[in-house]
Amino acid sequence: MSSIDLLRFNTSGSVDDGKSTLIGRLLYDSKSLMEDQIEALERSADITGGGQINLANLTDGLRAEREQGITIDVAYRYFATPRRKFIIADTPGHVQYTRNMVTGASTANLSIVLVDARAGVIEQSRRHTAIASLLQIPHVIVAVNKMDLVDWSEARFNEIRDEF
Amino acid sequence: MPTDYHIDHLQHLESEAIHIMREVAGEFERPALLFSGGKDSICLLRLAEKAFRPSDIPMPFLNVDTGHHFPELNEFRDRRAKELGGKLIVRKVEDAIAKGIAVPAPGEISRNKLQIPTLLAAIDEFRFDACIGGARRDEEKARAKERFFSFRDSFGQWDPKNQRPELWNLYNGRLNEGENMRIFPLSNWTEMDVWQYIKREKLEVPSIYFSHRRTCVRRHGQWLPVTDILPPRAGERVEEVTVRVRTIGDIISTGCVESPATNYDDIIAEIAAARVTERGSRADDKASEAAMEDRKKQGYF
Ligand SMILES: Nc1nc2c(ncn2[C@@H]2O[C@H](COP(=O)(O)OP(=O)(O)O)[C@@H](O)[C@H]2O)c(=O)[nH]1
Repeated sequence: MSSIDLLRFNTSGSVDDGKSTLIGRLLYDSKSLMEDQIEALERSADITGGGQINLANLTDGLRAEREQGITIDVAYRYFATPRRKFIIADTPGHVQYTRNMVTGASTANLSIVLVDARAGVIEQSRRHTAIASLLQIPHVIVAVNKMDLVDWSEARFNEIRDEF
Repeated sequence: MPTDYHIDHLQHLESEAIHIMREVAGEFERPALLFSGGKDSICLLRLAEKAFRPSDIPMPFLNVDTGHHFPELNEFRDRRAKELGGKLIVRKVEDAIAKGIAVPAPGEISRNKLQIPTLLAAIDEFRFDACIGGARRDEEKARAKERFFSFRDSFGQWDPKNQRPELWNLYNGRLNEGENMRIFPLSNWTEMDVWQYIKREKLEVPSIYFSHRRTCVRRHGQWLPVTDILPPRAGERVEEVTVRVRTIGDIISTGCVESPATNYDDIIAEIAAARVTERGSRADDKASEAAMEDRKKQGYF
């Protein structure tokens, strides 16, 4: 049997910076979503009112999370490519759930810190980066998200990079 | 065997699970291992062997028998437990109903919910402080939220909004009287990992996981086995189909999948190409989006 590696990573950053959406997208694009999961997503589309499919519903597995539209506790998701198997921890962004964020981040080899391009580097971005460093996570990626909402401005991107 | 020190993903998952097994033996006084004879618990037994041999596996095996099990499953369960020299405890939903421990709702045929009080009564009877189960996070999204060490209060209930921190590979087993822990060493395994492990370790599984002929009816888009407890309804056509089971629940709620798979490699290829999850064939989970969360809160494993 061919031997494949394992990469464990977590997504962090403040509430609404796009953690769950990024994971939903990775699962969707790697064809790791099954038909019944997509169906369940469609069925639940109305719970937060919008009537639109919300990829965040994939990882917000608890009723309270779906109703309030927030992530309370870490959710784990799995996908694989021919070369690698991935374990993702979708960790909560609210400061009062930091202990759950730390739980999910503690076993990661890589931490992705999401930053909303409009808001830039904020307290939670710094807190989560500091936690990644305290936990000695070997790799950290800062991902500037929602670039569409700043008209893909390279100047804004560079500003955030420099601030970091 | 490879000669380098590279750890592949199955070895990584295996060492994580063995570590947890040993933690359980070290931290708890009266643990039990839930063994149904299904594929996940078959992996648990091999991990227990690796964790504890040449000693005896230091915990009994526990199974809640709904009375609606596939007969092939129970035969396998009893035989495997004997081969390993383990003590198998079986508690039946029927007996729990007779004793008034489990009370079916009027017209309730499914034994799924009635397993919960039966299990909680067994935990009480033997004063188990920890139960190792084969649940995996990839099965269902409420399960995706659960810790390796999942704390249950004195009513056996899970509080998903108030889980304990669990850092690195340090597990907090602290309990007060009457509380207990559910422990899931296979949390990070996927259905694919389970079959790759079964293949690598050459583990025997019940015959119903492989392709066989079975008399079924088509209902809600699934092939359900025809039995005394699930007779065909008026207008339903009974057919002989070539199927296998992907996940084993009760015989009245387990949809069989049409499949020609006769060996491990066939199954692995089939899963790699699958477009629905294994729980897609379980009627018990389709009830509502929070079906699993609700059952877990009541004490389900
Ligand atoms: N316009 C835009 N919206 C995004 C982007 N990424 C995420 N969102 C939206 O931002 C909101 C919060 O995302 P979510 O993934 O729930 O954030 P989380 O709280 O960090 O998990 C959702 O309404 C998403 O649809 C993006 O790149 N562009």
